[in-house]
Amino acid sequence: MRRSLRAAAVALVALTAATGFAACGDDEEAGASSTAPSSLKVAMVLPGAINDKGFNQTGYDGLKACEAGGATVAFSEKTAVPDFTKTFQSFARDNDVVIGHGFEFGEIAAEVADEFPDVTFAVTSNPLAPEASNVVHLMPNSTQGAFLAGVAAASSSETGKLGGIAGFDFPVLQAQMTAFEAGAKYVDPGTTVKVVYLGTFDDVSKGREAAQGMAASGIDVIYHIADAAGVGVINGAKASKIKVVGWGIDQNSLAPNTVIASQVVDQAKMIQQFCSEAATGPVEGGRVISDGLQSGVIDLTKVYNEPAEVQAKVDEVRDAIVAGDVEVPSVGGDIPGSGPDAG
Amino acid sequence: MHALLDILTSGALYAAGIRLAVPVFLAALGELVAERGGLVNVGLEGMMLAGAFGGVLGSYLFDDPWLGVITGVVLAVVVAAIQAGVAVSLAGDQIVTGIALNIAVLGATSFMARTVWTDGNVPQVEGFDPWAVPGLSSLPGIGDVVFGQGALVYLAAALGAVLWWVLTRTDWGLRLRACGEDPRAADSLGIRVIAMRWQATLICGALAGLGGVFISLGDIFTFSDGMSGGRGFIALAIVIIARWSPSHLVPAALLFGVCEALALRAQVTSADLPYELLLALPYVLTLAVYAGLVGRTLPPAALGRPYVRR
Repeated sequence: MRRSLRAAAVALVALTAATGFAACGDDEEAGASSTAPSSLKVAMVLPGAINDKGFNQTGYDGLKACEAGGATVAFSEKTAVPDFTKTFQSFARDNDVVIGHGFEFGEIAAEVADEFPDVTFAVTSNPLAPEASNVVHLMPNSTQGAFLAGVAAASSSETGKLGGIAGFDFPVLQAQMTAFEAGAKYVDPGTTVKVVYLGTFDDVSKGREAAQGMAASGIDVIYHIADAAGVGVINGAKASKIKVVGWGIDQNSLAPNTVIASQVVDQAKMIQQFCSEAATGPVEGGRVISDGLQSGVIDLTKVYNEPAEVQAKVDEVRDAIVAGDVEVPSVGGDIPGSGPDAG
Repeated sequence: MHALLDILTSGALYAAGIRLAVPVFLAALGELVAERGGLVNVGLEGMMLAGAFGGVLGSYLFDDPWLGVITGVVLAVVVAAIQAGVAVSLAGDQIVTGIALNIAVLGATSFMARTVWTDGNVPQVEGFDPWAVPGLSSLPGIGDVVFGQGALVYLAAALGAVLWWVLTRTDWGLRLRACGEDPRAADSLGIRVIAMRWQATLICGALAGLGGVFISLGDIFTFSDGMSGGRGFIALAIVIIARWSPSHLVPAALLFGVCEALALRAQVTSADLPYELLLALPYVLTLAVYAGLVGRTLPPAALGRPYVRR
């Protein structure tokens, strides 16, 4: 019994070490700080990994842009839901700005805002108007990019069958899938779009098999919003020799002959703009800062490996959206419940 | 409904099922060896993840997927050695050790990915493309499904056969099973229980690592945090469903793999079925099989109990 107790203690130490490992990303960043006492201190809480080649990566890129702009930064990645509030509070104690990367942080910011009146809280991908005067929501009009993704996909498809693969059926993701379909039907009303939900943003194997399953049913262009699992989607499409419209950052380098374009959701740009605003003085809270195609926060990358007509069509529709001639379905301001991850 | 039937009769579904089943099968095979020796290895998930990471690291450093396999297996065996050190030699709690290792590996692999590659931007590496077995792959019906897979699939099948033979037909297998049933009696007959359990744990680590390598190098060609996606835990369940029998592992793992493939494919053709239901299908069906067909299961009598020599 004594021996097993001792071993249990060893295991416990291993466990603590492991949690230390997981958190050490922010230790490093925080440790490198404290040089210029006057610089803006910005902390970010991310739900996923900073290297997911998608949603979380663009948030992290935004934080790095803030750092390049003179801010002192810290972050917590892969933050578990039960730790949201705690992480927010501990960052709020010694930072000027705390950014929650993702819709789900809206409630947390509202909850802790009163406790830290001198801190400005920002929540990304949240279209709801915040109540507290020190909370700002940053909402990219991602459906505009999804619409363009649909235009590119439908223009490149030979079968007229398109697929959409999303991590979960979160409202922000559903809205983008709806906009994707609308974009595709704008080009060719006869296009069909099938949507598959993986139930995960991490399980790359599922992403791959979903793509291969779609290929088997005659779908020849897939649009994905699946973060890390989306890398699996791209690999599956590559194996089945069909095309992909990527999401988040330009994913063409992952599979140059497979990814024909990517919907860019440049949250980094929005976050950077927000940081520079915050550096000059207190940011006016209680509002939603919305941005989209006009400033390039949302866009579609250039079209790779496809006839010039595809690019021309995308450019034409982009101009039409900016001019207000084409109506794009929006996320809407009445998202029920909580929990969405990607935006 | 007939759209669903089309999927069920298509070879592509079963080819996908095999791809999804192989990592679970390999990990379950390892777990079976460990459990037959009396050790519950809950750290399976961590060992798979270590294998997945090591596979990519090795293939990246040496530019050869086979050296990736070796690196992945070695890393997983290192994790298994920690498990054996604590749970076998120190007679620690097997479950607690396993859980601790899972969390430690999750953190350690993402930490190492960020150390090796800037900001953890893991590149695409050399992996295993499907390799059609000459002759056999042109067999009608099953040819392409079974013999058009990546090299690791055939390796997994061969390892399954070898371990079935070792466990059921060799002295070593008999001694290992004795350690899992009644270690004290085995010890009294001169079997070195601790050494046997060490060997079983390391073999388990190697097989789980290979399963992890299959996920990264056989499927995706890159590493992402937590990419094993809980398959190690599925493998734990598969062992129970297979009633600790190596020959039952194959249908159990295949059932799970095919259901997983079906869940993703059926969403395309049958949009009227709720997707949550389809995603739950592999788990529901596996549970149903366990409850309905398996009947009473008898685990090794000394399973999960550390052995301390008196």
